[in-house]
Amino acid sequence: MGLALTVVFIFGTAIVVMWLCKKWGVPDGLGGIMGAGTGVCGVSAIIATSPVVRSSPIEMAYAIGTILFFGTLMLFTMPYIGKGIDLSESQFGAWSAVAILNTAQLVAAAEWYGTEARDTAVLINVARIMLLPLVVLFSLWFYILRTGKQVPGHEINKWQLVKDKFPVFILGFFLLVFLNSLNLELLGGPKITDSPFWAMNAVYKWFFAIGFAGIGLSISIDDMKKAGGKAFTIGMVAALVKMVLGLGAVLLIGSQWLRVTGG
Amino acid sequence: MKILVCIDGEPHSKSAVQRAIFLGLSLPAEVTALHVIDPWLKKFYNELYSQGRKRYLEYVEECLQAAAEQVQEEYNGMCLAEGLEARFKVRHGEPMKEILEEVRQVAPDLLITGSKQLNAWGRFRSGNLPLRLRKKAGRQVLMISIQGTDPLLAK
Repeated sequence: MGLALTVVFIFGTAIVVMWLCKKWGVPDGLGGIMGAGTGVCGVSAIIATSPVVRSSPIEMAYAIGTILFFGTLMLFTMPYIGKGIDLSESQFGAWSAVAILNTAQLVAAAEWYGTEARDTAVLINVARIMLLPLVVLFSLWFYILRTGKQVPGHEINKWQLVKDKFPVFILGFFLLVFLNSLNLELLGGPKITDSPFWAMNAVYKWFFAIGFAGIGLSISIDDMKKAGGKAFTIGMVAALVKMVLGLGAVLLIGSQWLRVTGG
Repeated sequence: MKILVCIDGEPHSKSAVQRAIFLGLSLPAEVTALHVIDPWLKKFYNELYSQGRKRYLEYVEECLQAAAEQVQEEYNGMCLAEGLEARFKVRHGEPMKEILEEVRQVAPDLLITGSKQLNAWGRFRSGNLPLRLRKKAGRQVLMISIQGTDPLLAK
């Protein structure tokens, strides 16, 4: 159910944002990165999409600043809203994964809410990232191929594009999910003391903490101050709509369908 | 006399260049334009889960270089039209820090920058670079706004 929710939110957001930007005369370079950025995983989607839609540095700065600004705002407000309306951990994990605009902030918000919220958010986010090459491909079609704006001699190889943007670490993720599902005695499990998977789980928590310290250290108020222009309005509308619709969706679906099981 | 003019290709910095050229010819003075390439965008290449990092870095570099070349071309054109020797310098880094470093090294008699009319949010966002420069440069700073007519250039 979480996967279906992800697909609907990713493509729904990307398509609607790009279409509205086109309709309202927002430059293609900005519309493309805001569609991908608000739809998939924030700054990482902007990094993947900007060379394809040929965004200008000022458009990239506005878009990155906006995503970081609203992502951080959501990080500090959504857990309180979740607690206020008594959302379960799995519901909050799914809500943060579909609504929060940037990966780092969504995982941080879910981690703050609880372990089950984090597991749900991380799993849905992996699905989100897996779909990134398709969103980049959609931007290519929407802004370049469909409108015949491809520069002769500089044609983009679509398969190369998908290959370049494919998150290779996903293969490792699925390999571990597969091995964990086999219940091999040799590898044990996260809850079987002194087994290889138990050790990996213990180490993972440290890597996670170090990784997040690194993210926190690399984002500053000055980065968020770059938010502005039309990107700010687009980001604000997308964040609000995703928050409201995402909350409605997880309330309708209920905890049971969103729960991550295993271990 | 040495004049250093900060230039980023925006309309207000073009007004600053016009004033610098005018002063350069009238005084006369040696005018150098400084363009700072801000690599801020590059720091995001290693964002969590980002894909296509190499292409992104190449693309950002391409864009920044192209912008610098365009700024230089426009500056050269403006100097040529007025008959002033075009001196152009590029630095890489955080603009405020790089401008102050250039001021420290070159010791110009006058620093000229463009200035936008900003609202409170705009001033907060931009950090109001010209005003901060005026406080920190330790020499005369002339801020040129595109709002209104520059009385020195009006003929």
